[in-house]
Amino acid sequence: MNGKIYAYLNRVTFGPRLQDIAYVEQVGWEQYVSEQLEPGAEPPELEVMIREKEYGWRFDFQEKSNQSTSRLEYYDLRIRDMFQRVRESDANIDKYEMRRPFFETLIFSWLKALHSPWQLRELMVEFWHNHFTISADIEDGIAACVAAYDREAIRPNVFGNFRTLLEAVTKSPAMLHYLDNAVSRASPANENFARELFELHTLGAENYYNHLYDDWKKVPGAQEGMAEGYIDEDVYEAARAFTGWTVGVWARDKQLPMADTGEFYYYDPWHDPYKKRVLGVEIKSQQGPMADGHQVMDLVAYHPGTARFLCTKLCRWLVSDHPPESVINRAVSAWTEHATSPDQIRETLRAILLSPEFEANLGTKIKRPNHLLLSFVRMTGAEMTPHESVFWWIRKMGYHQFTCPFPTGNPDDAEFWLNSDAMLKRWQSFPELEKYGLEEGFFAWDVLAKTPADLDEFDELLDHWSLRLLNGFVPKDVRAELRKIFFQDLPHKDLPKLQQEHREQYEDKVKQMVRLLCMSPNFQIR
Amino acid sequence: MKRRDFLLRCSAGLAMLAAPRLSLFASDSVAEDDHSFVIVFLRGGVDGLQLVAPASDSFYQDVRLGGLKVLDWGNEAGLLLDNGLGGVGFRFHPLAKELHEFYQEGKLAVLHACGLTNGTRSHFEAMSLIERGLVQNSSAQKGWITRALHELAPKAELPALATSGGLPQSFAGFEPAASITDLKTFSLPDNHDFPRLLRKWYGGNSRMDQTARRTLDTLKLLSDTRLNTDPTAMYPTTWYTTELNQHFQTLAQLIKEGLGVRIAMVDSVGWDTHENQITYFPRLVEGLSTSLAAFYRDLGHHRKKVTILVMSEFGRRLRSNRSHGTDHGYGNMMMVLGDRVRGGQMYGRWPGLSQENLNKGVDLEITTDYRAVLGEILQETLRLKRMDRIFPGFQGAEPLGIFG
Repeated sequence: MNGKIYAYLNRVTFGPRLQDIAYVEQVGWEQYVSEQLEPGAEPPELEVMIREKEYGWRFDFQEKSNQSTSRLEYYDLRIRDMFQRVRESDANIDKYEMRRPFFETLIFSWLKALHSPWQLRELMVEFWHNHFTISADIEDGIAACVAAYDREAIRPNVFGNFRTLLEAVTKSPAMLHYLDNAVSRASPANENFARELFELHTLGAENYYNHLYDDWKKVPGAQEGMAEGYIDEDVYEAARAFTGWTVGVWARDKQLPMADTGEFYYYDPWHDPYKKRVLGVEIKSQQGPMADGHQVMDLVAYHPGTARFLCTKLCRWLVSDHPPESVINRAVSAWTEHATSPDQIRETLRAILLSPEFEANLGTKIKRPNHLLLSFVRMTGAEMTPHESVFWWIRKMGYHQFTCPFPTGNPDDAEFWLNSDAMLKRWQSFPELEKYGLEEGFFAWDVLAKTPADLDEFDELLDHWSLRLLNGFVPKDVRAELRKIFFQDLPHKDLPKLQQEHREQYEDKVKQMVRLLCMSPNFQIR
Repeated sequence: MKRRDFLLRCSAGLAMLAAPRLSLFASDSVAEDDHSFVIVFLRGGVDGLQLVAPASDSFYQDVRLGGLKVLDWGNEAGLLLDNGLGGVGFRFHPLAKELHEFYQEGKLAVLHACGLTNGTRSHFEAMSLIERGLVQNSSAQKGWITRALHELAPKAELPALATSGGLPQSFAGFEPAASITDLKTFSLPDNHDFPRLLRKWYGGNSRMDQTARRTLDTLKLLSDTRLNTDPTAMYPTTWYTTELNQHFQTLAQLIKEGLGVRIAMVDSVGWDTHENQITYFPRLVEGLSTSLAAFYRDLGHHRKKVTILVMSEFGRRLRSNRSHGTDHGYGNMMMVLGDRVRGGQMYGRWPGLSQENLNKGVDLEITTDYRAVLGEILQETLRLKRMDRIFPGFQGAEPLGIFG
């Protein structure tokens, strides 16, 4: 097995499998990156698995009919169709039904992460979901829009153009609800979205100059056509620019002549049409529908501060918690060169993934809890059907998928994930997953079928799995401990005989050994 | 409530294996005068103008929409704070009953117009500066709790503790800091040999190795510790307080165990009420007030040695927005609860709410640096002197006199 390719793939996949490594050995890293950046169709069997399989997700509203499993029914629905369906059904429909698109998006994303050959795309879906974070916990109305957010705003743009992505996100009902722009109207406007647009989505907190200047004219660059950073005045003015960008929502306000779709709706009477100034640039009065918001998005999306903030964040995700300046610069060049191209993010990622800094920093990042669990399943050859228990486990471990309690999204750096609580839960997770998975029937693992049959010695068995899971051999003192734990309670030490005469006991021991390997430091990193 | 059922089922589903506890571990006894300083951090920017409202101020009553303010009269009036501040009549939100009782009993001191004088209205930046004990950004990465504990050099096993998942930045750089969210599940599964194996595996010097070994130490230390909540504590059972109460219960137990907890932090989330504050805020206030009271009762006689500070990263805008919420503001209230606190009165200087007195013309001004409050508590409870070592560049402040 090629250790270097393992390290490459460990960074850009949810766990490298033997066949993935063999493939890259054959085509080469550069070719693999190019393929990943231009993903094709999913394998038919994955499509079937996603659309036709039933999942063990005990949606509460189904208690009425005693069902405990279901197919994906909402993921592909447009929001307007979903609202129509809810309207047409029982008027007292359980509001829990509203949360189902959120659960279905979790199911969809895990199946893709586990089985899609287009692993880089899935990794970037995770990145953008955290960059443009929303939370289904805030209200059921957001939960109802998570699927559309994933399907229409995030996924089509993961490798595309940032300005396009930004607008898709801004107009997506999940974001409009989450950062309250849906209810923002003149005047005073609701500032929540405008503030996070600057701080989290585009320029970043490093370009927030509020403690330095209290007047837009004083901000460097402001009088020369583009301010270098932003202050609260920019937030207030941008908030005004986005008034009227709302959602035509079922039953929010029956007085309003809104399209009753639950989808994006520009409502002119709520808009503040008068002159504004953002980043030093004047936004004229009475520009017409949505023009103010478009102009603000142009200003922030193409701002040099945004290029650096976004590229630093991409490098943190793909290269290192502390990415070298040189790789950030490479990324910024590609980002800026392709600013208006539909391949902007694709080319930026290519520059990062083919850089020497990428290679030099492999194996230095910690896996987030979701990544840890998914890589356990992928790399051990276990089979996992999405189940609500898995969601709760990952959440208990501190990763909040579509439910992040803070608008900054789930942190990416090891500093956040290294503490006693998180460490312990990492160790607890595999036995827990297996125990509840077997009880609830969502987890199956024929470990011996995934282990070569011709391993006659404990050391061969250990080496096979440690190479496969950890990309190396385990240290001598650990090996002795593992051996001791392995042979505890086994009648003798003859592996072939154990396989034949005590197969069940032997299988449990192999599983335990593999689980222990996954508790090791090397399995925590990517 | 369906959601509550769901959460409950989750916690039941996640109940750990009845794992065999690790070997007994005798903890050193803790000195009598050891005091615990607990920070309850209200994440998101609590609306201090609706929690501790300047209810008699006509300007306040004029600019705030109904439902986003505390009334000064009538059946729905807030709970009056005796002694007021700056001639203004302050009232707690009507659902802050327990806080009001603490105040009347003289255990709770309320400060107002406090905060971080940086000018930032960004959650991320404000929290990061406060947690590092700064006012202006600098390269200082350590948390203020870390610096305080370095000064204190505690010998006990569990000097620093966060119970809400992860370690807030306030603890950054303090290697012994522990994060324990739920005592019920704080154990290793399965096998007596695992700790020894893990200790060997994580034997190096990386941050992860150190964290892993520290975790194994803490597991050993707590191997016989069980949650033993005081039956009279009466933690609320509302679904929206489940997590907060679990964190409080865990902290109460660890304080009662006498493991030498000196500084601990509990996070309460959800205070960023830009929209529909009218629905969310009462629930948040009631949850905070009842949970805090339960925690205080749960501490039993240990409460004599515990001081609790309630704070947030900033306050909220005086004028409400048009989506029945309030945007990020500036000055805010702070509350200090404890047996040694000279409670039942308000502290600080009230700057007033007329246009010329507002910060940038829109927000409550800050007249008390947040570091003055933290510093006074550190000084009075943990006997720390050198505030400049804990808060870089801080020259100290006139004592507020919160402690008797």
